[in-house]
Amino acid sequence: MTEKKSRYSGVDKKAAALTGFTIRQMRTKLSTWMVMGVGVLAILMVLLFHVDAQTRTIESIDNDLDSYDFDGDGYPNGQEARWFTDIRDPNDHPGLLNSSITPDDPSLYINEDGFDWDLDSSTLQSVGKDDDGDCEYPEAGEMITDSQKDSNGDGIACNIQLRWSEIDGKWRFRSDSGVDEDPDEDEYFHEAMHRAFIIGFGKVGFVLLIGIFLPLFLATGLIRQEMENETLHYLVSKPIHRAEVLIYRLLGFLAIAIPYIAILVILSALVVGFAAPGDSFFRIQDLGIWLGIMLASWLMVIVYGAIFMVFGMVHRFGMVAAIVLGVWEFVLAMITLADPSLFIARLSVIFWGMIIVDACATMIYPDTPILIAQGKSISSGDDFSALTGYIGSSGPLPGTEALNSFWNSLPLGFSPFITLLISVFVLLAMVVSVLFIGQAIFKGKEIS
Amino acid sequence: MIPDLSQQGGAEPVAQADTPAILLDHVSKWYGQVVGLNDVSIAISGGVTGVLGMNGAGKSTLFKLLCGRIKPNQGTLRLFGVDPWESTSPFSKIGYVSESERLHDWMTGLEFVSTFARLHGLSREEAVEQSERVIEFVGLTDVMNKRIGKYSKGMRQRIKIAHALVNDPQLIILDEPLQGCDPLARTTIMNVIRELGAQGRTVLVSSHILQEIERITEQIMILHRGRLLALGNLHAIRSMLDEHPHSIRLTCDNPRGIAHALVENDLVDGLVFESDESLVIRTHHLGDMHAQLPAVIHESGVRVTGIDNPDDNLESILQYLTGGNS
Repeated sequence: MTEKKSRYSGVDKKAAALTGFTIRQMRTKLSTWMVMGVGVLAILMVLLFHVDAQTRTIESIDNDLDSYDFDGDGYPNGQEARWFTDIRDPNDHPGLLNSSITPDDPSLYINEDGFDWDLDSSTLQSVGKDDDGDCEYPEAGEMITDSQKDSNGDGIACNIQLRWSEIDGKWRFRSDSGVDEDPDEDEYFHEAMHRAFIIGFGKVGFVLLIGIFLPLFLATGLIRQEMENETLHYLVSKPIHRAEVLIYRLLGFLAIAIPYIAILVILSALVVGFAAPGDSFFRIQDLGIWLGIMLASWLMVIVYGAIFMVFGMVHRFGMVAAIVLGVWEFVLAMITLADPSLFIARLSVIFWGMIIVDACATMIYPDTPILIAQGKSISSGDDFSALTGYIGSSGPLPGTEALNSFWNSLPLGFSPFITLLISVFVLLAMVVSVLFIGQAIFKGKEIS
Repeated sequence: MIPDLSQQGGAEPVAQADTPAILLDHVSKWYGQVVGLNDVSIAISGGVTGVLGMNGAGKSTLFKLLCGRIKPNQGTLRLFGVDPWESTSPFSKIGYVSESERLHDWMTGLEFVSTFARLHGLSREEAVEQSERVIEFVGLTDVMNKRIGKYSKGMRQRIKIAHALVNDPQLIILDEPLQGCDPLARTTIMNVIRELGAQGRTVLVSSHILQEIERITEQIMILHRGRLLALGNLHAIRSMLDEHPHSIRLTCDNPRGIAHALVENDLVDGLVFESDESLVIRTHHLGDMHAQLPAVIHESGVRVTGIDNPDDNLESILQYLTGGNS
């Protein structure tokens, strides 16, 4: 440090002294380590569950029932369909047409047609291909016309059309005749769970739980404990403005909370990245969301830290007010998770933190609505069971519900990046106003 | 948030030479129905002033007002010409030892003093240097690297005093600094306070024990139920008391022998034989009586082993000053 004798260097020295004092004080408290230890344990436990889910294999489901043999003639439904034989008549099968045709292995007709839909975001329209030739019927030769191959009338033969309906806000499916999708459940599940976990864990685990509980336990007492210990006068009966005391106390807390969150987020990013599905060793793409989670959690502990510190300063029962606010935030967090477009959600801190994560997730994985629609399509798209008339699975694909419940489209009506900027600005404005009000109260506070 | 730099201490000239260190003008402070300080006006500059009063007399209220911890309900209060409630700038010239025994037990003595020294704007190195100086001044150098939690009561009081001295203050406020100390620590602290007064600083020391204050200073201020009862030289206050009957107890081998010599003295109002070995003299003129006693004793030839004033304590003084209604 230089020996400059300006006012500002004086401010620096006081800031460093008071912040450093606060850090050391927190470090010596057992409660600090308890709270942070519980946080680490909870995060590790959830990560463990996630890794376990990611290493589990999901049983394949024959979504379009073409591996079944309804009529018991030995030829699976899929094979019969290619030869235009009746899947319900044991006396009508490809072997009768040509005795050299032997029954296929039914497992060939499971997971044979994965999702390969391309989203055209300008028209909100997607086109999926028929991978397994359900509608081409190559073995039947010229028996099918081009217009039959394009029964959904989109001008493309043997495809699935997916269109966003503005009327009911859902994806609508229309497939060409006979085109069934039979995706790989295992692949779908792991991808959906991977995304659902990052978004859900970021919003609930980090932004909500760490974001509220860390400041609740560690920041509420920043001023209050000094009052109760009768040691506050060591800080305020000094040539230092009380606003500075507030800010430097908060900085001391943040000097512990911010690296703590950073370490936990990095740890989670590593574990989830290595456990991610796909061929690559590590999913580097996720880091954008993890950065958003880190930023949102940091802003949460800054805002809640300032609020709870001021609550504690104002009254002996500030902790009670902090808990009441915490409950309010919890309720609005649930509302934000359920439907962020409800205006009431904006009357919370948590909303602005959560949509930072949503904004980053939208930037990194813009095709997630399609992924959800795909998972749902298996049970809701009536045209998919065109071949057999039945649906192989009674519900959406495994993982769809999890992804659907944590994924939220951005409520503010702006692009993800603008949404991100607005949220950060709102949260910073909250910190400034809380500290401004807090120091005004603190200045008029008698320290008996 | 940008701190209000106008309230940073040390940068602006706070006091002119003729501004009193402490100035109270009709200051009152009450807590709900309870009066803490009632219409007190004083001006103090330089030297050691003992603030005497029973528990609840308003000593701590006065000190908390001076340290900007609480705000007066009425009147004006100035430290070096500045209102300590409005501005924290006077605190760069003030050292405050609180009555509270609570400290940051997890810090070492040196950490404690130097950390808070840095709140005066000292750099880390300056703070350690100054802290070592004041810790030596209060005689704690050998334990300065031990945790405060392990300190004795006397050491805790002394480290609080060191903390208050680290910014080289012009005004030092000590709230009951001798409370709970053993005789040795008491003597050390008294010497420290006397030394500070001798250095020309303004020192306020509170106590509820008259003899303690008497050993430190002659300048006293008596508070009673929030009111300023007396301010001035202890002897002047004592002579005021001469108007009231006073007692002197002599411990001797022949009380009646010495009584014989005293009966004829005009200053004596009455004599009481408490026991075979003690005689209580009642007088209105305590000072004069004490002046004449040695001669009387010498003439009587009685062996006197002790002279004391059984009612020479704060309670008695307060009783006299308040007309027996204390």
